[in-house]
Amino acid sequence: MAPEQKSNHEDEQFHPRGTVAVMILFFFTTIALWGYVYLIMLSQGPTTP
Amino acid sequence: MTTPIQPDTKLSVHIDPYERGWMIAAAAMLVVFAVAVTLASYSLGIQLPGPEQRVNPQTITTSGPWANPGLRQLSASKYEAYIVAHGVGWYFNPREFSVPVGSEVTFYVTSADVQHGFKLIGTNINMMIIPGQVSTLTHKFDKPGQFNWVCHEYCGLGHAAMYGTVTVTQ
Repeated sequence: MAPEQKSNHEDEQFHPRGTVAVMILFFFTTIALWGYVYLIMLSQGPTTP
Repeated sequence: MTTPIQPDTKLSVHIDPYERGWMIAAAAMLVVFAVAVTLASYSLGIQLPGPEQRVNPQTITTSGPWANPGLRQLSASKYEAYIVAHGVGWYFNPREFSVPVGSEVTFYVTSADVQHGFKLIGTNINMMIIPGQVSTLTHKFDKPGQFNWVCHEYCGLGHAAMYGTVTVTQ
């Protein structure tokens, strides 16, 4: 098999499901933690000079 | 020796679909966070603390409002609190005061010597206290209870002893 054909074959087989799952978990965890702190800050009321 | 690029050669950068997807998601998160902060800031009138005025740290304890620090009542529900942070002895003056619930208190805080911090826990009052500068923020106390403030800029050996309390009564 030629090197070029082998590379294309590897691309078709590249499905990093575990990595994608971790990244999705990271994405929603970041949003949830940020939103939690955001709501706490809003509940504490505004400050003005 | 490298081969020169021909003028008609089409250059392209290959980005993996997974990598592209994550870049788009990360950019979208930043945009959403920035929009949320901007909307809250404008709708609630939130502003960052800024330098109110300049003072001479060597004379603040002998002249001006910080020579007699404490709480001043301006009207039925409006107060001003003049507070001095001392790095020699590590204390705030005054260390505590009380206001009725629903009061709006404007804090005028300055330092007599070194840099300090002023974080009123349970509120968004969070200021850096710099000698020669007056830091000010206003907060309305809608709930009764005790609100402790601490120095949160390391100022020396007694830094942990620098705290105070606002008691909000019914």
